[in-house]
Amino acid sequence: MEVVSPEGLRQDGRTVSCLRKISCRLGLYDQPNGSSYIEMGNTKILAAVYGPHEVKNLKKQQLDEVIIQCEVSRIAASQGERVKRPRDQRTRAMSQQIASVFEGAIRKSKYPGSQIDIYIQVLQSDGGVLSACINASTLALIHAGVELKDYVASCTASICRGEPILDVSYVETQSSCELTIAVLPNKETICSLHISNTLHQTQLDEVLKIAMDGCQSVYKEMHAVVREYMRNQHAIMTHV
Amino acid sequence: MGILERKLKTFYRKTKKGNIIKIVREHYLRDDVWCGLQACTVCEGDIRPLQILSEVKSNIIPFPHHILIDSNVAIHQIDLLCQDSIRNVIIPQTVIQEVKHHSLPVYKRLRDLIDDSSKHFYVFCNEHHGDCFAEREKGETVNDCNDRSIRLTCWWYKQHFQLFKQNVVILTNDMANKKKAEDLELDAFTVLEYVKGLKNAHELLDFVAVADDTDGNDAPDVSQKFMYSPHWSITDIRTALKKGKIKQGVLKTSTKNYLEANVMVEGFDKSVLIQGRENLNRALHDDHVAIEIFPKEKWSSPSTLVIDQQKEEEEKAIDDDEEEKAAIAQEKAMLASSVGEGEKQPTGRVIGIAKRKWRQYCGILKKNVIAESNRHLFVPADKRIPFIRIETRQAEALQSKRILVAIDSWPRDSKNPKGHFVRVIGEIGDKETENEVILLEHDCPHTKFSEAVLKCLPKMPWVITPKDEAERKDLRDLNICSVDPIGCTDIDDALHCRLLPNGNYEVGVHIADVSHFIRPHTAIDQEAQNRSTTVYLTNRRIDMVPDLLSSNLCSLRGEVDRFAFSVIWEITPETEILSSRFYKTIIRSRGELSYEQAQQKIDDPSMNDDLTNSLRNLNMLAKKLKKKRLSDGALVLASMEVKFHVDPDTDTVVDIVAKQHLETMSMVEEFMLLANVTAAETTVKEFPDCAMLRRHPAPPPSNFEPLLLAAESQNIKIDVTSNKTLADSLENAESDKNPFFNNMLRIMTTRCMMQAVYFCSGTLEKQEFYHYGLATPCYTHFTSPIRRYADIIVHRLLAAIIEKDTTYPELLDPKKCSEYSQHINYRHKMAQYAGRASGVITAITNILRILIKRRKKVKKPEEWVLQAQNMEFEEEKTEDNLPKFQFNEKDLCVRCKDVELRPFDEVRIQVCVDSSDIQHEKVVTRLVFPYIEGFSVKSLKASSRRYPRIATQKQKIKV
Ligand SMILES: [Zn+2]
Repeated sequence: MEVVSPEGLRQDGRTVSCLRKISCRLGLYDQPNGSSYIEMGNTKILAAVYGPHEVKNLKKQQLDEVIIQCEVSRIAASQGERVKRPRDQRTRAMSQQIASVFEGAIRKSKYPGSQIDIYIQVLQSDGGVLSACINASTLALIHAGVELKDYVASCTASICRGEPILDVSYVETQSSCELTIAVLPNKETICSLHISNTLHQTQLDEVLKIAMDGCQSVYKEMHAVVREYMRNQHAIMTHV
Repeated sequence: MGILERKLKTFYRKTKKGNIIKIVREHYLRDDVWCGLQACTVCEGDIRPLQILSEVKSNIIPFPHHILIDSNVAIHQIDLLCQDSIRNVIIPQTVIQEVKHHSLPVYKRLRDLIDDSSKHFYVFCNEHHGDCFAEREKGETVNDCNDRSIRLTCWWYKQHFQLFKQNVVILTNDMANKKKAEDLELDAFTVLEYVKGLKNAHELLDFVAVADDTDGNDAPDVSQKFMYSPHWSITDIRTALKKGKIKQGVLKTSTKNYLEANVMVEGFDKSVLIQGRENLNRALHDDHVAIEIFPKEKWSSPSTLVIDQQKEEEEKAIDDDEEEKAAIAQEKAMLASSVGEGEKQPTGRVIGIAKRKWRQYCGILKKNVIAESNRHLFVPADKRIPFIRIETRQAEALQSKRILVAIDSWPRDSKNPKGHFVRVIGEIGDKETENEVILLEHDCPHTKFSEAVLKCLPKMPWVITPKDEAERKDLRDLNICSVDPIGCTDIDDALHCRLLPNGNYEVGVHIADVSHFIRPHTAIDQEAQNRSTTVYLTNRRIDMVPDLLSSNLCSLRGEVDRFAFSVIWEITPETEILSSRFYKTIIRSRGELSYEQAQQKIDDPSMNDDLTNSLRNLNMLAKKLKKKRLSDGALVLASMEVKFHVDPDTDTVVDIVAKQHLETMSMVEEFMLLANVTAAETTVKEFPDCAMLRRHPAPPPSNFEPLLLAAESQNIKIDVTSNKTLADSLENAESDKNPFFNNMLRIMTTRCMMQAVYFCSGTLEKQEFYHYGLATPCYTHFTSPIRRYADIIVHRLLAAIIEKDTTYPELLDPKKCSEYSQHINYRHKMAQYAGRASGVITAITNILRILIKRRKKVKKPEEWVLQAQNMEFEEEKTEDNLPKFQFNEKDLCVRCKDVELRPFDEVRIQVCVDSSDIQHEKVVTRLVFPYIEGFSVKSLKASSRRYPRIATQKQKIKV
């Protein structure tokens, strides 16, 4: 399959350094402390945050900081073909990765002895699932008012025939690797990096660069939505 | 500038399990897709091939214009598009995608046209253009939607071009599409209308493909005329296949009888026989067909006659229906009479064609007897292909030429397929023409390297930079030399050997570092991969990589610095290999030696320089290595190659000799084998899933039957249980009477062998890696990257292993590796056939030349003594007044009257050339001794003369 046509466009009409359309919303539900919904192209993720609350399993309790639990599940038809179980090894691995990303981003000492739960539902997946899950979690945590060092913005990149490409869809990952990074955009540091399939080390730099730039764009999109949400909330509150 | 809108494309797909899933893909529309016109001031974009036009070139279109084509035109009229005067063509993306889907060869040709800067072809991404995208409406078919998008594109261009006083016309052969385009006030033409209207129409009309009514299924049912049954649609075929009512397979037409074909299908051990024009139902050799199998009582057996189209298609006025009907009736009768009495075979008929494998065909024109007619028959060189009806206005000029023709369609009411003239290959009998025919018929890419490929070459003068020196091991101080046949210009290997202080030897094999110059994903890489191999014809070499690399930068010539990929071993005097390592190196060869020169050096005791000593050591080690290899069960096979010594100036054959064998040949061969084995072991260890290896399967026991029978006739036992036992038996098989006997046995053994093939290590079990002929557990090709693509892949893997180069996803993907292997195997096979065909042609022309040189007015035959080693019996439709031969299969001997012929008996034959069929000249042999009344011919010479002894590959005795 030809990922980038000789005319320079990808199958869906994007250029190599173009993100898919992102749209997100905050505060979908009342029950959880924080909730969010994000679409990155055709990948659609719902996230809910409970906590900080008391630690249920006291054996795990950390007296000086918060513990973070994450659980990813997916709906049966999220990838076209029905999957048998909503959770499997893949989602469990993803849950751990996401938890560890936020280990580094949440100011853990602010909530000693308590626990934060992140529940993520993959509604539809079309490449960049991990990345969209991280972004959704960030938004839900912000919505829940959990103190973060910075946003965590994530996106994917790959390389095809020597040319780096940003934000790969599912079909585009079929022929090459998928690099997912999560960054703290204002601090310009990487807090997580994950590669599925192989990428040669000499190519890492350029792929990383395009992914970093992508994360900045993702951050801008997320930040705009958060600001807009704040303004609306404030408006409503003053109105009441 | 950028993305304008997001659309979703939804479609449904069936999974392997049979579930239907919905797939949603994003589709972005943009506002920055540019028109490609050089002078456009509105659009931004860097590739702008379209010119501002000012000349009116048509009699029917009164203004200069660009051409926009639809998918059908792009697919079927590619030969027209290739013509020089067709320029400034806009190809909507929709069209190029459909072309790619429909036919990869056409897609490649179209891409070449787009890359050719003189053609001014431009691909417009209409599907992502805000105004040209057509969203599929309810009830609209994909095709209709695509056509609508193409019309929208044309409409957009018309509006956009007004700013620059330019015009655009749309070419389509689809009448409905044309009508709709005209409703949009577009200038629409069919291809024929358009070309007829051009001022240079006479130059182009021959190239217009006959407008086809898709499959000819709509043709009116005139019961008078000959009619094929309609083909089933693809959907009907699929449904019926699933129900198991019909079978699918690849049609293989018999080379002996153009009205008979075989199809291997699932569920049958034997192939399914298809006999007769009506049952073949317009399917051609290699087409993927759907067949219906007849009930058992209608099964038949293969015909035993040779039926040649050439002979049957007598000079008939091809426009005459009555004649045609009569001819078909006659054909049927003949076919019926030819059906053999052998075992019945499943028999069936073609009901539909899943995939056409039409290509372009070489052949000659058979002029219509009606002088003023433009309709002629084309006689393909490939006997399995039916004659093609073409229209041309230059029949007279094409009489003595070999030409190329493409098939356009095969309507139901036409006895023969319809096609069009593509181009002249050249004069019949001309050396270049004959070479090109061979290349075309064997699907060997042989065109000049494209601009894009040549651009990938390094700039000259090429220099070694300090960076190169830092990255590579410098071996320029070693006494390295190359040993090759005389006149070899693509030297891809060199060797060295030196004694180490500890008494062991350091041996190095240095291979041209082609992968340094051919980087993955470049145009040159794709071209090399497509070619896969250099093709050697007797008087021409078709390189896999451009000459600058093959004969210069990659060729390890003497006294110049070259990059090499080296493997260096430490070997004990007893040839135990202590260590092996690969390096990227810089070498300077001390000399390009020929086998003969190297041999002389070794044999001359007065020579004592370092290079000679190095050669002597290599030779000594090679002998030991060979001994070890043979004791492991490696086979020594013979393929009695006859070499024509050609005088390069006059191009005539000076001598025909059997290839001589020198020790130095084994020496080089031995170390190349060792290098290949080392490369195979190293790559498979590091990349167990995606190493490209070469295996040689053990032949099935049935393959050995002819060999065993032949040996038995001489009371010799051959044990074929394993390669080891076979090698040993061959070693001991001698006949006192016949000094050639052992050699002939080995030739016969060669014919029992399977083909060695490349494969991906991840696709087979380890024990299947075995190389039967070489008796090695794993093997690959590393030593000839200039002329074999497999070696380039092996080099890349090795370079990655020693951390001197990067990998890329395709290199590590077992599926891709498997695909590449299959492609390379195909090209290798075809290149081999092409080489052989070229040998036959050279033989023919040279025999003719020798005959003429000796001033024999008539083509009188030469006489040679031959050993009848493998007689092939072929029954031809000839007069029955010849004496009857009886072939006794069990004893493998032929009896006729009181003469009995056995394998290895000495016979004397005459050799001459049969030129009655100009496309298939052949060497004919006639028996002189033993004399058989009524069959043999009288010797031309006094018997006391000594005849040159030559063993030929095959000897055909016509019965
Ligand atoms: Zn423009």
